[in-house]
Amino acid sequence: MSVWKFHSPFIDDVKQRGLGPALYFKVNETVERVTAGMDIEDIRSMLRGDPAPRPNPRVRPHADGFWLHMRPTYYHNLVTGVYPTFRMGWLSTYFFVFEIITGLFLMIFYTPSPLVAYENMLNILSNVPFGRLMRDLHKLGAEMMVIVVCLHMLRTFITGSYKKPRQFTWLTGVILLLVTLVLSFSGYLLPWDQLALWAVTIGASMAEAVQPQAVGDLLNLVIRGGPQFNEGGLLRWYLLHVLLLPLLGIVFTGVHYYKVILHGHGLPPEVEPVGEDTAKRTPVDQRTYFMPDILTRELLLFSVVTVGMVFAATFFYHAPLEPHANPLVTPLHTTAPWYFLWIQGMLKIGDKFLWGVVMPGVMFGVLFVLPYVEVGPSRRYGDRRVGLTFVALTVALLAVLSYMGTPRYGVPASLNVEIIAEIVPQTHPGPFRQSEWEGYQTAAISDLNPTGRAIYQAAEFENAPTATLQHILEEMQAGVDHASHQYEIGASDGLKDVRGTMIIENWQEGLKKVTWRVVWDPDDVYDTKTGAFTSGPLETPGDETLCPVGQIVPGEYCQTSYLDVDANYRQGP
Amino acid sequence: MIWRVLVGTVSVVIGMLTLGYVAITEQDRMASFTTSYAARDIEAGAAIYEAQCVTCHGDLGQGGRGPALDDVKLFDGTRTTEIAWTGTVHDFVYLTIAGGRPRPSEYYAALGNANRMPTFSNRFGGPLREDEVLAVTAFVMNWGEAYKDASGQFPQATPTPNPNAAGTDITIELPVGDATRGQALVTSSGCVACHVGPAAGVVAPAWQTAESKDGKGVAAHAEERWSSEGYAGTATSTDQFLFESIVNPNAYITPPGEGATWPAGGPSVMPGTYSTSLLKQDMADIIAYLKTIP
Repeated sequence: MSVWKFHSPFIDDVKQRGLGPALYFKVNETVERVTAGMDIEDIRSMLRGDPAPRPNPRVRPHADGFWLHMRPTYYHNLVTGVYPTFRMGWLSTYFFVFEIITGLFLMIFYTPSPLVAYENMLNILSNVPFGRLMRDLHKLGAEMMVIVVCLHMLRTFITGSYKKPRQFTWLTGVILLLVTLVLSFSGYLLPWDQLALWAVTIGASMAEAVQPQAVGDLLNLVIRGGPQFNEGGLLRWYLLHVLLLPLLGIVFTGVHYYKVILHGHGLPPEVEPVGEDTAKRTPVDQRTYFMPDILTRELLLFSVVTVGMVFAATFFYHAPLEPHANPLVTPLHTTAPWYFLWIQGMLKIGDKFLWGVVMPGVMFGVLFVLPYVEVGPSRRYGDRRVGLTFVALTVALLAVLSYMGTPRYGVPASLNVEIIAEIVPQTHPGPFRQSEWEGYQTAAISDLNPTGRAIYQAAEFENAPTATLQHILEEMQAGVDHASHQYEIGASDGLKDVRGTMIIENWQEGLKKVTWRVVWDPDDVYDTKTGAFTSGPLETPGDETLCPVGQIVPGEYCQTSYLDVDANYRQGP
Repeated sequence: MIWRVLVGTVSVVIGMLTLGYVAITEQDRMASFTTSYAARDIEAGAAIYEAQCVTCHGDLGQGGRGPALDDVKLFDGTRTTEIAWTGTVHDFVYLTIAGGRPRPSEYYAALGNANRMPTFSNRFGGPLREDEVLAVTAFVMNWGEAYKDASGQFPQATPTPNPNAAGTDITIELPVGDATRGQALVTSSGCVACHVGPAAGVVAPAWQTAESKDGKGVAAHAEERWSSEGYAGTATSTDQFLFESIVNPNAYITPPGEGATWPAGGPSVMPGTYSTSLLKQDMADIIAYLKTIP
């Protein structure tokens, strides 16, 4: 007789039934516990597509398990197709989780300080295995999430799903839209590159315009964390991005989804009697059970979208990284993120406070109160012509405003600067840096020409010795032609007798210096009073002196670029 | 259902293949990015150099008001040896850009360049951020590439460390020492700041008999310590013990007496750079001088 008794039902079972059956029993029992109610045979029968037995073991995980208790046991047949949901709500949740996971990876390698944040980016790109992929996925996922969330809202409006009893679901959805937009926007600042600093500066300058001035000043201080964006500002935007907004997102996703389950997925408007909501009354013959149909569809969607993201981020999409943030240099053509371009477009219309703060505020305000104000009982498309027209016009208006937000609209830039900015842009690598280094052919080095300086005229691009040069010079000539054309049609930004020149020199071992030069007739200027060009005695500068150092020549604009043999801009940021 | 399982499985396989492709190419990609960012640093440095440095150092580094930078002597170690700089050339260039020259260097004054240079790092009130200082350094260092031979070395390079430097091997045979020169060296090398005068016996062990608590000088102490109980170093003679104390101060920490502030268990507060900044002859002279203090 032993002093203690060793309890092992498994060993007892092995003794009784033999190892094989005992092992199967044990595994089966474990599976049943993990799935909260379905054993191996239940799962196999489900995946084979057998009709559900009675009592149905496939509803047990919904009753007893944590994860599935928040999913319905069955859906109405009419909401399981692509229409009417287009899976947009599911995809919004998917991207939210996707962003949290990729974001956690990036957090490990990031310190929110202007001293090292940019260095962290370089480290992620050049020293962290899978670092670039994760960064690209996070950025791509953020863009996708904004798109999907906006489409989700659009769909909800079009199918009238915000109407009674789902008003509050809509309201939390608008909160989640705001959370998504600000999440994406706050992520912009973290790499601490030029794109980051200036995109957020545009945003903060709108806060500064808030009236009365004292409130604007305070808001500006809160957003920037000081008179200028620096460590204080970066830290609070970082905390906003990784703590406050994800928390709000999780809480409101919970509320939003709870309401979706409470009220059921809205049926297509045309199948319901006007003014009734029959989503929760699903006849027995109209039910699609979560297991196995919805489950396998979701798994399919999950794997296809995830793989699509990984594939795209590996081969097609790379998150941009501009040069280190510099508060003293505003890059030409800096813009807000694309989903805020419409605000930037409105800023070009007029007053900063009215168009940059009040109008967007009113627009979001309308979204918030919409379901409580628009209380027409019918969800049918035919009964909602005014509302649907209104939303179509709003989408068109946002598209136009977004176009107006791009540098193509209403940015008063001189064409001499633009000609060069097309080739060596300040916000992305552009054609010059992405072309073959060897293609930028210099002249022979001699005592008279120690740097091997070679001068190419854009107009003679066809005679250039290499294909690379022909391409670049042709691009430059296209800008020159545009400036001439503008002059000929009498546009105020036209330039008379304009010419472009490219000067290439060997500056160091493996480093070439390129001087871009645009010359034009300097006193042929547009007179805003008469609306015509006035002539003067000066002429277009010749080629006797090229870009003299420390001297301003009327009618000459020069800019230098350097290109190292190893810079390899074509591999992405 | 079959289709769902099939498409799902195929997409997972494609996903695994894509990740596998990334895993295989990742090392090369990371190396390529490292090279690429070093190159872009040079480009950024070139632009800053053009804006802030050309008026004194010349657009091609040919010099002018300031010294020439496109000069092999800067890169092969000649110049750093002449001014007794013990670090790397990169650090010398970096430090000079960051801190400038608060007073004209005697070395360049002799060459006709008796000018000061402003500080450029914003840490010292200059205009450039840390990454910009490093970018300009990368650009200046890139001039050196043209002077390297096929094996990537400078043909006339002054080796670093200097073969005549004292080094850390205390068993080598030193030249004959000159105590008079040694006495001058202990002042110019900074030894007396801590070992003689008010700090002696407080910051560091006292050399002079008058300042020592037990009335013994540095030579007597050295003689008894290397053969005493608890000695953990490798010296087997008084000369070697003194040599070791200078080039490897942590080999043996003298027990701090009353009023001394140095930690008994180390680490030593003495600079650890004398093995490279003192030459063999200097070492012999200093040892010779120390042995004259009884």
